[in-house]
Amino acid sequence: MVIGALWLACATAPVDSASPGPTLPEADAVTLLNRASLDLRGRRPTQAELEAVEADPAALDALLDEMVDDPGFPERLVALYAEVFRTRADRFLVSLDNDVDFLDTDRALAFKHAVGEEPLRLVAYLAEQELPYTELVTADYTLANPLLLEHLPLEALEEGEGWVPARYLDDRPAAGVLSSTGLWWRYTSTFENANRGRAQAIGRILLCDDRFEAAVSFQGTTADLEERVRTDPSCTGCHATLDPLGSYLWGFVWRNQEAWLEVTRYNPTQEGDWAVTTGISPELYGQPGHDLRGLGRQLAADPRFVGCAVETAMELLLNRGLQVEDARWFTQHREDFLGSGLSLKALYRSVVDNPVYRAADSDEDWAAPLRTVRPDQLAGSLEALTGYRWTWQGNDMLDTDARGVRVLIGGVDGVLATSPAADPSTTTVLALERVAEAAAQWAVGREGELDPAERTLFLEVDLTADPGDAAVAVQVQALLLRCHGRRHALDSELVLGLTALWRALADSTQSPRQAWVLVLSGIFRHPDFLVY
Amino acid sequence: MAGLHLPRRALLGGLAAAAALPWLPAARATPAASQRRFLFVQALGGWDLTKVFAPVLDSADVEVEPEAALGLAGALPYVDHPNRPSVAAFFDRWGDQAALLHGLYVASIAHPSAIRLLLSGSLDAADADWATRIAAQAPDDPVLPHLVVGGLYYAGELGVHVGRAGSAGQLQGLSTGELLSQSDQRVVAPDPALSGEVDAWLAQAIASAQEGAGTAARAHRLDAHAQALERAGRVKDSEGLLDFRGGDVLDEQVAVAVAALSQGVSRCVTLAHPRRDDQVEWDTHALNEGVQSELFEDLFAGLGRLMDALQASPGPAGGSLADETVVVVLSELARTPTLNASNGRDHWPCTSALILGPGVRGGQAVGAYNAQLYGQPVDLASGEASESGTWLGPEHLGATLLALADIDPREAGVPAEPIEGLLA
Repeated sequence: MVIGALWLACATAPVDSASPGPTLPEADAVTLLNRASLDLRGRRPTQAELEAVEADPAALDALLDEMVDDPGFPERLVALYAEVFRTRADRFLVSLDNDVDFLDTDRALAFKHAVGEEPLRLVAYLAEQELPYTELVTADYTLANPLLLEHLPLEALEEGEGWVPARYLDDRPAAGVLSSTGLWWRYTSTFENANRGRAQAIGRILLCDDRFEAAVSFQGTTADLEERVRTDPSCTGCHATLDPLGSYLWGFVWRNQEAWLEVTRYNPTQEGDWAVTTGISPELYGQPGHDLRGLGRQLAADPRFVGCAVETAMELLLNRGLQVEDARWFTQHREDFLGSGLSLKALYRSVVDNPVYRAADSDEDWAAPLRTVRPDQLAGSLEALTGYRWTWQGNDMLDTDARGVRVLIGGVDGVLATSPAADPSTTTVLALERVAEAAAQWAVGREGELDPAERTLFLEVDLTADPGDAAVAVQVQALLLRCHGRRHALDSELVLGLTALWRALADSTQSPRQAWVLVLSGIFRHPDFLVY
Repeated sequence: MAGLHLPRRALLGGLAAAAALPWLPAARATPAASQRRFLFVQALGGWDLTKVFAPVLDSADVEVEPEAALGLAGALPYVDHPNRPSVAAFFDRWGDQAALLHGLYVASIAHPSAIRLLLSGSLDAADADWATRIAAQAPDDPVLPHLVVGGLYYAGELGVHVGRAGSAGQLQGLSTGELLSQSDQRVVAPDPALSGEVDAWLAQAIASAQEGAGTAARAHRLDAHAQALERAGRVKDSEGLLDFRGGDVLDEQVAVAVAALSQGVSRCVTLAHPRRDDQVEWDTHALNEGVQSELFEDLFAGLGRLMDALQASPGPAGGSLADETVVVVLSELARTPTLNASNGRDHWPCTSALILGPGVRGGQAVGAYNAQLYGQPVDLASGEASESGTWLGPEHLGATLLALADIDPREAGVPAEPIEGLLA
């Protein structure tokens, strides 16, 4: 991350005095529509949106404005920030074994999933409600679903289904995600390790300070390691920051991680334990503090916090780390973010206008790399197109590894896989094939039972009859428009190839319906459905 | 079309059956280095060198257990202890083929970066781990070049060559389509012959897209897709003869690994001890002594069974799998020489690795620790500690593993020489 360099370069400079940054040819409006729809809503654009932009590329900007108001936007942020927080693990170090309600494996899996989502749901809530991003570390509430409300010391602050604002009842200081169970179950600590790993997580996630994960030299050492930690600049550079930051977090240190009542609660009586362990009082980067609530306020007031929010949004949408060439637009996005009152909607809308984001494919170093759909985008697109979502016993098979295929299809669990796969592998292809086959089968089955006027995919043909190659080609063209978000000519290689495939399959199975299932699955397995 | 010729069920009815039915080759073949396979066992979290690897028994700066003693397997010294009989049993049986590599400085004491550094020699996300690099150059194009049954991997830009088996055998269910039976919205996988027609169309469609890729990045992505599609087809064609199931613990992971290596499905397999999804059990900041002792006893008992299984199974090159497979056991960190107030040990930046198998000069320790448990520089040619030698890091481990795989480390961009003293 280059936040430090960018911050120094941009903190005091007006926008127009920064370096001009790179220029890249802009992608066409349909490409941008697909890109933004997948990035901001997690699904392909609708046919109406595609046709509007085809007819008038200038219609794109208004559609981009609408996308950040779409209910899919906060859901998308949950998935995006899972790559940053890395909390959506299927397994935590703490034990659930002492809660008898969790004898049901599926229920335990759903609970752990909810715990991991708790901090991510606060991100989504701030975006949805257009609340200032600083509430991420200052909010006097968290988000909880019925499972968390049932098993953690929480009370709901609002009526409602799903995720609602809630308050902890165990006297923990209210400091947004810093008070969440999910963050500290993912990043546990021991008495002896004094929350250093947790401090490292705070630095990386909230301040984009990843120097704690940089390599340091130990070679040739003959001195005592503990002494070096205190005196060697290569050690003190990190420990002088980590150790006092960890001192804020003693209320979350659990002596027995097998004890359900301990790991589900904050212990205010331990807050001062730093005095008898490290002896290092709480500080955030040299600024003394007192408790967790104070840490949240300190973070919110730290200019790096806002800078990190901007950097994170840019990295997530540009699909790469920031470079010096990004300085001008970093400043622009930060100004837009600040000007909006720290609205995530405004920030992401601003980044979508970044010329690197809007650029056509390029092999230039500063261009955004090709994007591959993440599991949530795949699931969202398939569900929007077909009505099918691969769940089993209520658990999303593209969002779990205990049962499902999240990592096998290229996703992130935050522990064993911390960055999404770029290239498809054997397992990616196999997992994609199966979910594509399932979605196609569901879509054909469902639409076959509907009146033609109610269908969304198969408007051009009777699914039970052979309509002839010309009609098949028209239907294939329509499917490609909906699924790949791009219109192909009737005589294009792709349309002709799929039409020929349909013919071969219909002839061999004597089932037009089955042929459509397989053709649609092929469309979902094509690289143009995966890469955007 | 390499590697899908041996019906696994005829070979292995489980690990116990494999061990009970020793496979005796008519002639023991010595495979070329390029044909060697690799099995990595990750004991992530940080192991305690004083329990097995570093017999620094009379130093005032190193706390050791009361009954710890020097064990010798030929010229290979290790720590022997009555609570860990499996360690001695392992070295008695396999010590002549095993080398201990000491004093690997991992330039971090934070788990995430230490793991990445040890496994890949780099913190750059573009760099793949050693196993994936070796697997990517498999001469026989296996269907899953680097199969990850447990633990971590870093694919870098070689993602097409690596894949997970899934914590509940999901890869098996994907290959047969049976996993779709676990769907709340009821669906069934189509007839394999019909989906094969879609595969053929898709391969042609990708080939057409490759012709008009436009950018090198898109061409690379399409190449990977085509390669993955072809390999996935071979997995499906096996019609369930491949079996990627198996449980969480090491023995159950070993069953999957032995089958994959024996059938040429993979060149490299990665496992995790004690569980496939674990990277914390070895991280003993508290109650170190008992936990580490139990973990080492369990690990070496498991390694013994692993070696039995390798020896009892045929390798793709014609020898036993033990003749063809280099086993690498590692942990990203070690633990401090002295106990903390919670009877734990904290992170220590120099660690050891156990390497055994073809091409390894066994029966020796390469490198050494001093009385404060710091690694010492090593003469790469002899493997002996030498003040004028080289400080060892993950890059030396990587260079040595690549050399064992017949890959030139320099050409592979590894900034280190192999440890010749470890190579037979």
